[in-house]
Amino acid sequence: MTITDTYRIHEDWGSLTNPLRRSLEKQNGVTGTLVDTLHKLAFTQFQNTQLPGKKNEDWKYTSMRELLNTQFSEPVFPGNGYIDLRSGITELDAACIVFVNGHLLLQLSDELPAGVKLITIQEAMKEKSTLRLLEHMIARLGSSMMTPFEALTTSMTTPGVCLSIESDLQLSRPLHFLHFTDSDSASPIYTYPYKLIGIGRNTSVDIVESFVSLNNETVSFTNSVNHIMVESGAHLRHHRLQDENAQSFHINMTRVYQEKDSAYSSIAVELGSKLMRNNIEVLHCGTGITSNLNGLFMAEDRQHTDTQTFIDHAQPRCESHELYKGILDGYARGVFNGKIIVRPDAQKTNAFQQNNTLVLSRNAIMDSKPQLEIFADDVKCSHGATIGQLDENAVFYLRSRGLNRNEASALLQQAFVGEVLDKCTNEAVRNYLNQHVEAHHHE
Amino acid sequence: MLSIHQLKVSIGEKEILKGIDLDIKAGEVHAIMGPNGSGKSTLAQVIAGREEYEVTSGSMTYDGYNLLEMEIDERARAGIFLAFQYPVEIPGVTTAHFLKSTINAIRKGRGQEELTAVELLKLMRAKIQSLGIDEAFLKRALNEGFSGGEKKKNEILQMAVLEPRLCILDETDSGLDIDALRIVADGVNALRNKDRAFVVVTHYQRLLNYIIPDYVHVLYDGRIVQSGGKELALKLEEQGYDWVKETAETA
Repeated sequence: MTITDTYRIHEDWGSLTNPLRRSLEKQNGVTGTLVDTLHKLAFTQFQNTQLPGKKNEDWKYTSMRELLNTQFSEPVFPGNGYIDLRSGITELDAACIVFVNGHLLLQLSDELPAGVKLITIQEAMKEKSTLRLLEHMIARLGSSMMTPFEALTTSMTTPGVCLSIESDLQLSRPLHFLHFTDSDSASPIYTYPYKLIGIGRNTSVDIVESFVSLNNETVSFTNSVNHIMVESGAHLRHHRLQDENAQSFHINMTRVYQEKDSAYSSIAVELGSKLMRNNIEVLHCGTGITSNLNGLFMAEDRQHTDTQTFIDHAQPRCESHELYKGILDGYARGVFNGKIIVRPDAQKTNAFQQNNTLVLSRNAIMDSKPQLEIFADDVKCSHGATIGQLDENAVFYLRSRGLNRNEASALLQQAFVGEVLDKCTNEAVRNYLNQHVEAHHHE
Repeated sequence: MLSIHQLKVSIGEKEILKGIDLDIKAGEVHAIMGPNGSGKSTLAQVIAGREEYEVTSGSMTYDGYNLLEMEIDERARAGIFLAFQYPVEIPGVTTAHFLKSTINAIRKGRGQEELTAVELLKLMRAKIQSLGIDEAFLKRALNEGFSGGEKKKNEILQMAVLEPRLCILDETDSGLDIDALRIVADGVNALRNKDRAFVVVTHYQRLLNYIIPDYVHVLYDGRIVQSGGKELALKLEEQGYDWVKETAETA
């Protein structure tokens, strides 16, 4: 009997589930810890999810066939060749936490400020504060429905980390998770970074996540998961930059549970990858919550960029604001699916969603799908989607001032996405994101 | 400087300019007047290079170069400037950022070195002060939410900063109150010199009280039907355009 038979993993998942099989083998017989509970929960959900395919509404516009058919293998464990990794890649002044191929490299990471703890998921069971976070998260996840890719990463034992920040802290310097992929070999590699993040009561912090390829030739699959708990009164500003190489596949899930009076503000900048899907799901677990989800995506050639958001307004007097903007060129395809549920109890909800996409080429395709389900009667909700081209009047105006067509186009693109970057209240972070965005404007 | 000969221009099937002849020398100010729909704005935009208009025959040269073969931005870098009747609002780009981009694009085109951020700021501040415009302009998104008068002032500011050789003002006076009109006129007059020419397109004579033209041309139904000195503008102010139409139609 093969492992596949024992654990019932659908063979269409191909090489992507190899690390999961190995992890299940290793675990064999050793069970009973809280981390095992997390993995088991995720694995059960994984087995119950539908395979991504055209028949599945969630995957109607995004095909996973190429990803599932690619033969991936375990990346080589990063050696010591990464001493100067950060120089030249980020000028951002932040406390950096460095991962290569999904492995945390503490020797390259900065010392973290007081009150900020970074440990492995295994170690998280040994301390009271992180144990509570873990228990709390397992309880929440038990009543949520993970996506297949999210459940896949969550069900593995390595190499997850836990970031826990104490209550009542005002951290002015951002924490920066740098995720690098790298390989010398020609064969495709997978990485499954998992982060459990807890923001303590009334704490305010900026977290930046960057996903970057060190080698432009490496074919990689990053399947990243963030499970985040924002405790009451806390404010997490979460900035995400995905700038992996043009061969890479990238899937991310950020699942956020917000408690009473907390705020979660997200800016997701999607620039790289051949195939990219970013999911954000926010569940309101108390009243007086604010969720700001912002993002911009730029795709060209045959890039496929897919943003999926879901805000679950389960409690009264909460608000959410969403602004997603995109620019597509060449044969690129873009997808935006913005789901909002306002549950019967969630009276006095304010929920606003906007998606605007600029399509620069006649061969690029955008699918934008707002999905509002409202079951309460005293609410304010609105959504809007536009798909358009560059304003030729504006192009003429700029050209009549000496800018050539490409310069005029670049300036208008910058202006278009500027509205999203302006949502970033931390100037250093904004400049950092903007540098990467500017490098992608077509001159 | 600018020489237009038997220029015919269409948009779609419709012929708008039906044979224009115009000769403008450095140092001169020409006013183009005429009733609505006579083709004034079309002429202004065609000189700047607007691509929607099709030049079906005739010629247009600038300093001896064939203007019809030059791109919009090449014309700008060669010193042609169009102050728009309806300046475009561009949210997300500050006026300062826009000015910096255009100044350096034009300098690059002229083979001059680009200015540094400090030099640019100094230049912009100096021009803003000399025009009596509020410095807060620079930080605002280009023309976004500007009043009609502010937009026109912004056009003059751009003109002052870019120092073009041929300035075309397309109904810059429309929608201006008397104070804004004076700022615009002062800006133009400060730029007048022997090397620079102006084409002032206007429906009313009012602006020409402040910017005194050397020549006035009356455009009607796609043709220049009268040319004369500044006194022609006064006659139009007194008598309206009806006599022009009558003369044109009986001719």
